[in-house]
Amino acid sequence: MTYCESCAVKIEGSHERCPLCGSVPSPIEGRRYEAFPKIRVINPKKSLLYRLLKLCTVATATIAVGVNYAFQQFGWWSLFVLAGLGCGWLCLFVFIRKWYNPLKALSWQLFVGVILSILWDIGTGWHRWSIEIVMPILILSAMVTTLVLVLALHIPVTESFIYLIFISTLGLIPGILIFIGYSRFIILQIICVVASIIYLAALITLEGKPFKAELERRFHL
Amino acid sequence: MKQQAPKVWRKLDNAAKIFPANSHGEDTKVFRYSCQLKDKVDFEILQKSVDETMPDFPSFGSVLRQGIFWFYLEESRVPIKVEKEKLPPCTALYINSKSPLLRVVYYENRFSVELYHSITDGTGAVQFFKVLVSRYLSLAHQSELDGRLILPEYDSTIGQRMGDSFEYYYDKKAKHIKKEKAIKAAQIKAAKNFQRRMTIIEGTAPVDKLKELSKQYDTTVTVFLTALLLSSIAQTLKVSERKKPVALSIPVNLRNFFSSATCRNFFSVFETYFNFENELPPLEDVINKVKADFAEKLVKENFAARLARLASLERNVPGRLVPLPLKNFGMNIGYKISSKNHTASYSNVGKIVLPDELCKYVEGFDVFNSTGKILLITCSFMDTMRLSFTSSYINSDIQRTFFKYLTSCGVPVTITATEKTTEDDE
Repeated sequence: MTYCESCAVKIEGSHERCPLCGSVPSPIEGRRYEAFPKIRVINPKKSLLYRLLKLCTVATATIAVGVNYAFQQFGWWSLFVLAGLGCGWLCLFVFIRKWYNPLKALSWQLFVGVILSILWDIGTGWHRWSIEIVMPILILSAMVTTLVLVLALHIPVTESFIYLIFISTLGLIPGILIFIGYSRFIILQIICVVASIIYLAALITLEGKPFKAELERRFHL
Repeated sequence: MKQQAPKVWRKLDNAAKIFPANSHGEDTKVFRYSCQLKDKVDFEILQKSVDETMPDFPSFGSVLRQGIFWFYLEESRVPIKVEKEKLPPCTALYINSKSPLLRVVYYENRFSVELYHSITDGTGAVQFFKVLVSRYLSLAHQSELDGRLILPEYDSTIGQRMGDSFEYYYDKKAKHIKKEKAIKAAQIKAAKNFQRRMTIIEGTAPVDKLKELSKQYDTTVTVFLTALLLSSIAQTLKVSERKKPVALSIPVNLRNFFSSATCRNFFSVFETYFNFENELPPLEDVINKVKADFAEKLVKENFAARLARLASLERNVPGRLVPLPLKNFGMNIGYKISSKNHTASYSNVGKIVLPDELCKYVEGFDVFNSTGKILLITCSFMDTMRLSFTSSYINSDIQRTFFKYLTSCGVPVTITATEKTTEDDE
């Protein structure tokens, strides 16, 4: 135990300086009791790969804009490069944030993927490839992947429900597009809708009660 | 798919809903109760005590999950593991939907329970902690106590303990009392700790000396300490900031006004402030203003009105239909705006009482809470009071001014603190 003359307080533990004023306290009789462990402060650094990826992104973006500025006869193609890099980082960010729950990460990736592909389609003249080809393919692959993940990782029904419902409900959207007559290339969309209905039906018929309970807790108002 | 028994889930209470949206940086919304024993902590006995205490407080072993419209608590089947302390106090608990919301750590003679604010408030945590400490001491001193399990007295069922008192006491009509206009309080503009750690400085002082000193000012210890904290902050503020009033946010245990045995959140807050401006008036003036504020604001009707206002926000149907990420965004902005209403916080946990036979094994209790500003929590055990400051600032001038005043008035103070770490030592 020490004593700080300046603050007129006793100090427990082995502080070399008074925690209040910073002056050097003088030792006095008494136990040497440490209340808190000494925990080192370590500057957290992200992995080298992550930092390199950041540097490469900045370098690619700067070079693209620079080259584009110098040779402007081909239009502003560097905007596509910037948008592409942005999309890549968004997907990576979503994955990093949700990786602890693979099904959640997959559902978010699917959602972000669908939205980004629609935006790209709009940005490149709306040829509907995003909703007629990319969306059904993404949804079908997500269905297969979730099934594999659930079986391989032995994920309990209660944990996987909400994501399975989300993916299969998303898979019904192409059905609406076909119904209102908006789609031209419908083969993939039909496969997607059929698979989604079977997926949802399997959930409801095979797992009826937990299905309802999960909906209640997730959608409580 | 693996079949599993359905897990119990609970809606968050009114106060708990705000925390997940606002647990950032150093303000992790984690608070800590520590018990300093006379002997070293026995890890195995502590683990056994935790295992036996958890079933009495079912929601404490939950995880926080996201629904489409609200967060909710879901029973977790992962048992709480006691660990040797290796993280800074009040380190974040809620990281994702698998994180336990309770942590039990030990170091030398002290063991601590850290809890996320969404599961309980200070009073609920005291109930839990008292049962845990009593169970630990009964097991650790089995031979001296003839194998008796001595637990603190409390007359409540598990259902009452897990009840939502905000919902129970919601009375729409109580809203008629108008909300006091919020003030724009002075803010401490100082450098923050490295890596968003908190500075912990705790003073131990005899209760009778503090009572004696408060009596000289013809007031209670709580009012005296509130005024002293206001004055200590004002003395260290920049003159430009001192033009605004220095305000303290003070949490209030609603169980004192509304009968309830809940161990979930059931608290409210009120603010007391003083306009220092250029002058630093004598402490008596600050005490008189604080005393008047306490008398005026610490009334049941005010809290009933505040409870009704906050609960009606939550009950508003269009508001309820807003998806959770948007709600979080809104609550975050609202919280940031309302945090401008106070400069710092002060919370008095009060007297911690253990069964008489167990008191001789305990040196003391202390309580800390995370904060993005500076916070003083006081609690007393037997004849000593612990005055625990947690602060996100490197500078400890406020704490020094505060304790120096006490020692200058003849109150002996012993300081316990975490090591100051301001730079990378690797």
